[in-house]
Amino acid sequence: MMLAAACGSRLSKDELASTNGGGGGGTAAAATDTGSNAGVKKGPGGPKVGTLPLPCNKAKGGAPKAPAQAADGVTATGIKVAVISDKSGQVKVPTASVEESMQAFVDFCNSYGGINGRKLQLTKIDSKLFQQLEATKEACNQKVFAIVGSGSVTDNQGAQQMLDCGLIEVPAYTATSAKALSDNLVQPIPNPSNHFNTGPPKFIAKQHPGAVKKAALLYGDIAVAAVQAKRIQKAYEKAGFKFTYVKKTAIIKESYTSEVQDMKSKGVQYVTMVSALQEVQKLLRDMDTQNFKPEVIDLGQQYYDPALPKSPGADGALVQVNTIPFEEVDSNPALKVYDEAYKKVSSSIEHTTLGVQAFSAGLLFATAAKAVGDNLTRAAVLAQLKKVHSWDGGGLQMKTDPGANKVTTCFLYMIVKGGKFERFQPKKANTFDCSNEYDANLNDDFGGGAKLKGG
Amino acid sequence: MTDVLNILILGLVSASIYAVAASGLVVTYTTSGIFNFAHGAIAMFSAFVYWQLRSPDAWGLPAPIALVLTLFVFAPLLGIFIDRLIMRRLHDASTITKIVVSIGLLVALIQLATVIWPPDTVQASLPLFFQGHKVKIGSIQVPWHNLVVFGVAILVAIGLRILLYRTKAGVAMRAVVDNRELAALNGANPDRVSALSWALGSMLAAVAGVLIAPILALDQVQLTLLVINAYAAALVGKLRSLPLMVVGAMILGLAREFVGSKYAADWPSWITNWLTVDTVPVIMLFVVLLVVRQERESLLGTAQSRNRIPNPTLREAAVAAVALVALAWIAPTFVHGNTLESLGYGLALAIVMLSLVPLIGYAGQISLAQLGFAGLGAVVMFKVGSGGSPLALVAVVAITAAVGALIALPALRLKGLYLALATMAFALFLEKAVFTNIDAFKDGDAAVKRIHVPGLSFSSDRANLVLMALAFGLVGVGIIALRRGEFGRRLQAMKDSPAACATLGLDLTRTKLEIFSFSAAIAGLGGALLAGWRGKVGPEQFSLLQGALPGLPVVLLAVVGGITAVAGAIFGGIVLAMIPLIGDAVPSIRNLMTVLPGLVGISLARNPDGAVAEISAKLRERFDRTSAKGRHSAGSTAQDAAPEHDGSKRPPALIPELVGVGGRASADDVRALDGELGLRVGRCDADSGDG
Repeated sequence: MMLAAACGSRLSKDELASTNGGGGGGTAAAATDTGSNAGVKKGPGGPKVGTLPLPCNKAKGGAPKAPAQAADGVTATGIKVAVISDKSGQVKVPTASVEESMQAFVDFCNSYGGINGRKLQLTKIDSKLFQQLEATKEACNQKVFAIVGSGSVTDNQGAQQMLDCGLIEVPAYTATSAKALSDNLVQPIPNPSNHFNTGPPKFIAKQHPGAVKKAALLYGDIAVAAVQAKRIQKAYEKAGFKFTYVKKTAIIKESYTSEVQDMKSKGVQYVTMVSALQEVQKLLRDMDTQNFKPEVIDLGQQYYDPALPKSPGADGALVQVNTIPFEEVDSNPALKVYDEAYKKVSSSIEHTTLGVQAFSAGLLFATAAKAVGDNLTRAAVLAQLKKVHSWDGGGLQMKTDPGANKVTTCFLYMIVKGGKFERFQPKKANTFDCSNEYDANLNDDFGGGAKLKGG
Repeated sequence: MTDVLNILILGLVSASIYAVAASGLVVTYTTSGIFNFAHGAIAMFSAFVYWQLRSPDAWGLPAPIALVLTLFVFAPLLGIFIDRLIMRRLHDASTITKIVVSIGLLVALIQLATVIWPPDTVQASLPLFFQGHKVKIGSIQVPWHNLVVFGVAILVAIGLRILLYRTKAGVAMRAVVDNRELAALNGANPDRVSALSWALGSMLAAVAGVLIAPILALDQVQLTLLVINAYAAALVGKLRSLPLMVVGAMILGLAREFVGSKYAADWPSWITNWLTVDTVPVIMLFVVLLVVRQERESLLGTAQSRNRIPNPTLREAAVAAVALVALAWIAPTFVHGNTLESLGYGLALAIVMLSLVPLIGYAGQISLAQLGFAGLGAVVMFKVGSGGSPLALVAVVAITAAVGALIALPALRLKGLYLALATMAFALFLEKAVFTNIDAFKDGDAAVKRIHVPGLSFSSDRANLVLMALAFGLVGVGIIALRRGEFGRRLQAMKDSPAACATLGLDLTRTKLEIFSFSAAIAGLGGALLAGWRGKVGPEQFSLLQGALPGLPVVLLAVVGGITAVAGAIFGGIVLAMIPLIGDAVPSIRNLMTVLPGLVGISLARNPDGAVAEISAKLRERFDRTSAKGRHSAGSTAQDAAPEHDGSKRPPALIPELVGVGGRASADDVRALDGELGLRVGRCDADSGDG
């Protein structure tokens, strides 16, 4: 993932979503302002996205007023937001569909009239894997109201910059401590680095009490993966794991056979890995070739990718997911809304679970902004965001507490079976396995978040 | 015991991969005299073509047909195309031009593949041949695919040996490299032989691509990088001997396997911090370059640089520097946001590129490590002056200069290609073993404030831009002054004829150390200023192939800008920083913009003097035409017709500053001379193809 020479990125910056009036772009429904997404259901309390009241609507009683105090990025008719994400350059990135998903949200929301009648105007910025700082400066220069639905691998770079120019942010996901613990930031699935969700290890320890005493952890030789590996080791040990094999490997290897041999000779029965998808695929292939079949192969959410089930040796691997899996789109109204909106934006780029999180971030932002009303300011929206203590994006994702930035205490495992993903735990469709006991305080410092100056 | 056996088996399996990857490098070099940096990129591109033909997600042809089409139709045609369009012009080009052109090809192919097969929409992967079949050797299961690779490695080595030494075509290929004229006189057709050798080299790249991509992963970067790892193996055979190359591949495979094994797990961290699976190929490359004796041709037989060295007066240089500072002052009034950001970035890069002017341009010493030195400068700035202390710049300059000298020391006896590869190894070592061990920096999070002198802050964009322009101006003027002084003449002499210099009692060792130090210090300064401008830096800003700003294009564009001209550095820096912006502004040409740096590198085959020289020559031509017309009508004297700084009008090859360095006249000079003397001079016109 870190291997991109990112100058090849296919970025699209300064491309404002021109759904606001005479721009000519946008979806067909934008002209009518009544929306036509088949997933949105009318109920007694008004239209809903899944279980969430639709936060997008026309202005009540005529046009919205201009805000009392002039705020950056807000006019009588529009709200300017930016999405920053890593677009694919020379390598496939897990954030591939984040920008498209945010565009899908903006088109969707505007088709229902925007937020209190103000249309969203989207500025798309490519952080090109290593240029998140430049991307954030660009968002500042564009004088957007907020950054919404964003996600970049090196998001520590511009974390301070976002605060220094007074922005607020509702990202799709955060990758580093600096961002995850940042001020003025609320995200749909919090990931504070000093805590860890031990739902998955606790579940596995219960199912495979013997295997977790012979656990193996492999991670690629880059800073982000090393920190994540350290957190995993610490948290999983709290859940009763014993790691008998911890190995830092080269970021790109042609073979993992020697690692597999080592794990075999140590009698390893549980394997997890933090690296690029392609490297995990190679590890699984080499495990398969060497007839090494541990009881558990446990993979993080970035490996919920259609390429994984098709690769040799993947059968039986468990994969965590934070949003409702695409396999359940027909039974999940909120996911259906996303799916329909997304397909209008892109047919070539496959949707990803981080894309769903971007859509959820959009909904979260819109919900808070709608609650503020006509007099939209960043401080007011941030205050509303901080009040949200129960969020699931209308059923798109696991239940979380974004306002308090509390670590998630839900999980969902998929399993690879016959070249496909299948739900594994919990069994019931559209649910997650949740318990407050899953919150583990790591009592350790993995780097602080970006802080407001003087704050 | 079984563990040792395992390491041996795994080492051999991976050695066969390197052998296949390196064989094409050796063949191309033996038969064309060009070290093809783009070999891995050709392998990658061919693997994608095979995927396109073979995959059920694409055209779905049967494997044998897809293989034949890839290996025997596409790859040879690509080779012939590359030869016709690019390489044929290079046989008498300077080493740096040869290097830069093939780096240009590498960059262009990677980008082209990204445009044709975008990673976010094309899910390309190749299965192993004979998927699922394997044999047990010792305690390890080896897939049939790896046995095929092993077999191909041996067959290719034997087959090529026979081809090159036992067949007429092979002998002709080697002969053309050794002495083109002599070969031609003896009935070989150099052009046909050259096409044949590139077709063969490209075919071997395709074989490597099709065999290795299923093992490694089919994407734009991995294969390209793997072939760079294989450089070390190829160098063991001095780029000529296939059996020795195979030995090199075995050493490499075994060494990597050993360092990655559990035996190495117990080593103290001060060793494992820098000795990793990733750094083994780089360290091996460096060591091999120092140990093997450099081959005769690359020491003596290389063509001298044909580059012209512009030599402005100090006054002109000073005026230009002042103009640059003034421009930097005005710029923020007109450009904002991203453009301003890139402008500053480009200016900092220009300082880094400037470090190449005295080193490559004047002294003829090649370095691919300048961006690495810049990174080092940024690290020092971060460590001692992250608050923006101007004194830290002194430390930056002192430390990078010292490291520059330290690296020059072992590299003293290297020249040309070997020097380029040694500096490349050093740059990769910095990237993989040094930058990764520095906290905050390794995360791309090393915060550096802009320079702050008591009472004078350079923290605003405008002030910082002016500061960088000032730095560029001062260093630039300094370099031009140096060029005109005693040191400059020493450099020039060393570039022209090291042997003659040594005979005359010139201390070459000292001169080389001085120039490497000087150049590294400039690059370090550029890196430190870049850190201040951006505010945060990490390895990505200073890496050779990956990251935000790949270093190879830096060298490439510096050379394209015109490696002998201070103005060329500005051109290169700004262009490199600005190209992506053009793509952003005009989405329809975005793809073209990503391929552009590579293409301009390739274009150097046509115009080795660089863009600035070409543009200024054209401008002068036009200016002269109009002014000559004016003078003519005014009845000018003969004296007026010889303006002070006019290259095109002067009698050719009489003013030393305008002669191609090394005493050889440039092609234009020779042609002009031909005209005057009625002679056919030199081989430049005999077969250069553009005569």
